[in-house]
Amino acid sequence: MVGALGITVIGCAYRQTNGPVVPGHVPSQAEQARVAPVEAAQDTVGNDPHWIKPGAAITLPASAEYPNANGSVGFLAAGVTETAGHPFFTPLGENGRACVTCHQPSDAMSVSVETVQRRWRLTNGRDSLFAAVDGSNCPSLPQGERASHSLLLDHGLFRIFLPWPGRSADGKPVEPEFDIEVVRDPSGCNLDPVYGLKSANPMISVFRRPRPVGNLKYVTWALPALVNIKSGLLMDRDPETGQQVGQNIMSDSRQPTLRTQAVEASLVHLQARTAPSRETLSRLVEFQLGIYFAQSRGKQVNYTAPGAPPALGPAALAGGKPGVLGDNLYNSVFLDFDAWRTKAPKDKKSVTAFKQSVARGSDLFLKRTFWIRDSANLNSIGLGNPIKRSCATCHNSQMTGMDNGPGWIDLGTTTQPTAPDMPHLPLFKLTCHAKARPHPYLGRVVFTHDPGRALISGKCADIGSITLQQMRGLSARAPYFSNGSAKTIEAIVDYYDTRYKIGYTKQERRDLVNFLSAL
Amino acid sequence: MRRVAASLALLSVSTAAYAQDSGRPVAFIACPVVRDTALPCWLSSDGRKLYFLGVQQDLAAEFYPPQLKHRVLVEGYDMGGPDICGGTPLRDIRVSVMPEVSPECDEIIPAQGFQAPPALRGAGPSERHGPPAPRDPPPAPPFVEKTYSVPYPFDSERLRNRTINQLRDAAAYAIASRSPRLTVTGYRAGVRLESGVLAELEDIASLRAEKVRDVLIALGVAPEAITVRTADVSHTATGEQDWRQRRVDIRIEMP
Ligand code: HEC
Ligand code: HEC
Repeated sequence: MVGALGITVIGCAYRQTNGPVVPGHVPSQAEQARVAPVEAAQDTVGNDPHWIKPGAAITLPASAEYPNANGSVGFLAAGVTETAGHPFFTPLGENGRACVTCHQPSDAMSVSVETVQRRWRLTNGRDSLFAAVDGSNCPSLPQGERASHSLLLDHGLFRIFLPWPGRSADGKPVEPEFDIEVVRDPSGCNLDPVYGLKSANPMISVFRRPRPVGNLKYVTWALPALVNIKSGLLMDRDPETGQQVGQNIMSDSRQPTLRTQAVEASLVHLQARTAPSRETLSRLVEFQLGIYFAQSRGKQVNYTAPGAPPALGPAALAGGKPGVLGDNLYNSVFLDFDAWRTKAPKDKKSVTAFKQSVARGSDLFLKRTFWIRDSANLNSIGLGNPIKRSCATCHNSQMTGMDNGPGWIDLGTTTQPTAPDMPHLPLFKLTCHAKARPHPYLGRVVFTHDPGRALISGKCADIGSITLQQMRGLSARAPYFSNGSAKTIEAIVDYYDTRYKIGYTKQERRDLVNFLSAL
Repeated sequence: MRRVAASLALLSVSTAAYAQDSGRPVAFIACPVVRDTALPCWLSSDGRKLYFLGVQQDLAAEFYPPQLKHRVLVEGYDMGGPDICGGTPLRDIRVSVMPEVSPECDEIIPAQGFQAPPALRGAGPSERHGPPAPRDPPPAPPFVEKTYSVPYPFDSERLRNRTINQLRDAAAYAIASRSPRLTVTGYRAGVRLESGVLAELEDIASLRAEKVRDVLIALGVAPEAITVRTADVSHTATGEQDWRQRRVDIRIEMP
């Protein structure tokens, strides 16, 4: 069907029209985005040398480096980019935002909470970053006040609103296996009469970090498997070409391709009135596929110097091959760090110590075993619960540390009792229907801050499952996990230490943190 | 609803009825236990004896381990052989994870000096490529009517890596032989336990059959050539090799 926005919903009908193709949840989202108020933004840059404002006319070099607390992050594009008129940098909708607003080169193509806070200070909260639609806790709140943007300002989180019940690709409601009750709603948006679950256009609001846009040949790589090992169903396909897709885009894998993703982003984040043209979509996708990023320097060490470990720096990603399974000792996730195991003649003591720490950290990531347990869509897919394995079991795809297959797993980051205390986030009670199979470890009643994949699939087994994001450029884009619950890289490691009772020593913790900071 | 039908036929499952070399049939549901050996071993006890079920491997393996927080249905033959990892091994073992959550199943026991038997993959990252899972040779004439039988764990319609390979073989055969008609029959089975017969989920036969049909179509089999059927054979459980009934049969007919 072709809706008011000229969108074609995936299904057999898409073949008959030339409109852009999107999954079934998008028309309802677009409808809400049209309702949300649009205030005149003032995208003054201020004293912010690396901020790229929407609509800017600058020349973005093909290769750049941007400083961060752990050194600097490297950025590569397919060529020099004139941002004037370029769709990634141009406000395509009503609210003044462009894609670059939330996907900044200086922040590893995401946007860090530190940057968010700086933008608030420099613009008195008038930057389009804070647009009511999803840059505030709820569009119905008074927009000038800091408190109305606390989730973005304190935790780097944007509001993601998805129709409930979910929609299948062809726009029909998915018959969910569970009922959702709003237990707690600090943002007010789930209970809001216009934007909430009981509104005329029923929506669930969850709050998520922007996933980095780059290294996308890895992110979009499609495992040539017939059946999705997570769902047991046939793998999803690209609605335009019919080709199988990898199902790793967005934290709930709701978008099959970068093209369909860009339609949602334009209609929702940018509040565009109509979907971008096919040509604009092609330019957006082509640009994004040309971007590579990774940390390129430590405080004292150049990661791209000759002889550095082969997986570090953005050029390594540009040159790598996607889809290589790296949970092994012969062609590992992040290749090898042998170059840094022994002291190089000219290195200072502190440099050697750092390099050796990173190398040990890479070993811990790949080889240090612990009991991975009660993690749905990992333990439950035939591996057994628990399984004695390492970080690389889940983070198995070479160069990015994503999952080579469709990557949603319930790590426990959004479900009780393992989720950290997050009183600022909504809390939902999900009750599985009697006929459905329960969540494999949490049973038939689950409390969660973000149902994750289950909002799309409607399955109890998927409650709390979040699609792994890539592990690159971490130093440039805190906080971490899709709900921003880990404020620092240390906090990521500590989460795992507690979650799986690993028992890292102080030295091991430091080594892992150094290793992650260098990716 | 499922049912546990107590039955007088229970006594027919007696040890004496089986030749000594084929062993004593075993079928029970209990909590699994995992042993904290370098490579974890899986065990479970029927209340009288601790059985060895298998070791942790990966998705390419034939044995998929049980899950703590779930009870496990264990079926096989007790041959009385020497213990492995502290448990009696079972011949022809089948292990099924029961779908409901059982929080009481939560036991990791210490290694106690035991060791897992040698296996392809240790804990942690793999050290070498595993061999490919078994596949049929490419189909070649003469083509004759053929039935592929795809097995399942109890209450499950999930396709494992190996069963997907079977479906690939079946589709290749159907296409190469230009079969005009494939009959896909999904079965709902039961298992006879000491307490009676436990039947699978009511709609499991059609869940299985429809998934297989979808995969065959994705593999290039013409949808109009496929007929889907279901059969409920849950009442025929004997307590011996009941797992053979948990299946989908793909009968590939010739012109
Ligand atoms: C208001 C902030 C914002 C704007 C503007 C924005 N995005 Fe995003 N982007 C996000 C968030 C948040 C996510 C993660 C959403 C989720 O996981 O559900 C995301 C995810 C993505 C992803 C998925 C990456 C991955 O690895 O899964 C891509 C690609 C992307 N955005 C591209 C775009 C494009 C193209 C545009 C412009 C048309 C755009 N974004 C505009 C916030 C934004
Ligand atoms: C059971 C599977 C699993 C294991 C084991 C695992 N992870 Fe993760 N990891 C995930 C999932 C799922 C996410 C995304 C979770 C979220 O965003 O809420 C993730 C996210 C991450 C991220 C990305 C954070 C970000 O926001 O970009 C890092 C870094 C990470 N894990 C490191 C590790 C380390 C280090 C280990 C070993 C100690 C490890 N992981 C073990 C599943 C796993």
